[in-house]
Amino acid sequence: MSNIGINTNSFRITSKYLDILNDFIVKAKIHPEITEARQEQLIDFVSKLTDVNNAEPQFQMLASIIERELRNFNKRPDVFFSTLIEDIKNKNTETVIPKIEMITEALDVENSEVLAKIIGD
Amino acid sequence: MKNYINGAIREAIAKGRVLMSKIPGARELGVYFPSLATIANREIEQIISELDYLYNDDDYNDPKSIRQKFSKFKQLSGRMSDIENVVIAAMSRKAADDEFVNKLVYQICQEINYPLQTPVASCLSQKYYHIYPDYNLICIPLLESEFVLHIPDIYHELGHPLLYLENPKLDAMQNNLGLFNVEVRKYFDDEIKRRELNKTNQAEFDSIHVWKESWVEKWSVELFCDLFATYTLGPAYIWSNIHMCTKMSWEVYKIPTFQKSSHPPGEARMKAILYGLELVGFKDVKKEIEAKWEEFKVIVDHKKPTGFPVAVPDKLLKLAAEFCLVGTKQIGCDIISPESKGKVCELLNNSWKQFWADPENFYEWEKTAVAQFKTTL
Repeated sequence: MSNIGINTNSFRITSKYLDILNDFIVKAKIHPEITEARQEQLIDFVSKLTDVNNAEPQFQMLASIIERELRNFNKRPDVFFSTLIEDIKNKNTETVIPKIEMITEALDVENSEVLAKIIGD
Repeated sequence: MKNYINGAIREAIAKGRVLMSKIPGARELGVYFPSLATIANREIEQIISELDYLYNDDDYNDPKSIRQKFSKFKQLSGRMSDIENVVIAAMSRKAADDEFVNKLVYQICQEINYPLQTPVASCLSQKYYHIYPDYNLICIPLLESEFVLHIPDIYHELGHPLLYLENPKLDAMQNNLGLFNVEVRKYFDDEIKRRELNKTNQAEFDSIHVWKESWVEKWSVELFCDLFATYTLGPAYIWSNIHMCTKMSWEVYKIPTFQKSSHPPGEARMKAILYGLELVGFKDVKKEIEAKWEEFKVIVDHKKPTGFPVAVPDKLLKLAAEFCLVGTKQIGCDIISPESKGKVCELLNNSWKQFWADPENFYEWEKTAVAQFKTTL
């Protein structure tokens, strides 16, 4: 009964989305305008996280990880995600960046934990 | 720290190049390991290219991006160390029994009509059976090539790539896992709402969130792998699961309290796979296995926590069995039946029959059976 298989999956999936979100934060901090294409991409990503009927296991895992982090900060996931979508629609970079940073923080915590388990398991 | 991170990136690039030079050549790789070398080379090249980008990109070099630069460096280092500790290590520590386990895994994949390439097998695992889907590498403990009772775990490990890799051939399986998780989330969300309404102390910690996370992030996948093994191998997998519990997992009702766990409790796994076994027509054997499992539970006498029926409701275990069966059929794998033929399938199921017929003399029978089997592969 090894945890390696499942931890490796978590590491890879969180790495993939950390990469995408970190790129977004870096670009948005330096070039604050949100392009139409980027706006669409972000809305699609957040919508998949909030859709309770979404049947993609990767997004179900990500949503669970992020919701846990939000709960730790006493934030209601439904409120957090709906205001984030509104902010993206309004291209409000100043309020979008901290929220995306919160999501990356959640993924980063999980990513580090599973990596430690893979290496130390 | 800006200087530090750039220095660390340059060192990591150098390390990547050294790692590439450590990948063995054709003579050392033999017949089974060249695909692993290809994967390792490609992955290291990719990591080096991403490190190079991180080092040179103007936006990442802006002081405002320092945290993201550190974060990206950490992931790339993690991937590099994974390659070093897993892939290079497997290629460098080839064992005499690798040939047998590779033939064995190949034969299993043929018998069950596995939809992906056969994984490379290495029999130098120090951590029980496990698989790395991205490297297509399965690791098996050293002595397992001489014994048969735990070999069924290979079928469980073969399930992991089906539930994780991005490949259109696997969409149906992953969609069934996803649909099952939708039901899991709905069940727990309803239960959470009900509890919130009845809660007297709002600050009180409730493990229900931990159970929901465990299911969605880990348990569903592990249960699907158990069920996949049951549907492709049959009773031998379930016997082998009891065998594993007797050695490693006596806390059959253990549910997490504060932090999610990786595997569902032993009782939940057994119930789900027993439901699954019945779905594929093994009603009588199911009763036999169930009786032994009940005996084992009496022996270990682990107390069932009060939250157990809420954390692991029967209806979710039954649903998992149903969804996984649909997924396994939709990806084209051959489902076991009492009439199924196949060298490995017959060896493993007959071994358990033989074990129960005469447990004390099983080892002698096993020695001969394994030796004979090796000559047929």
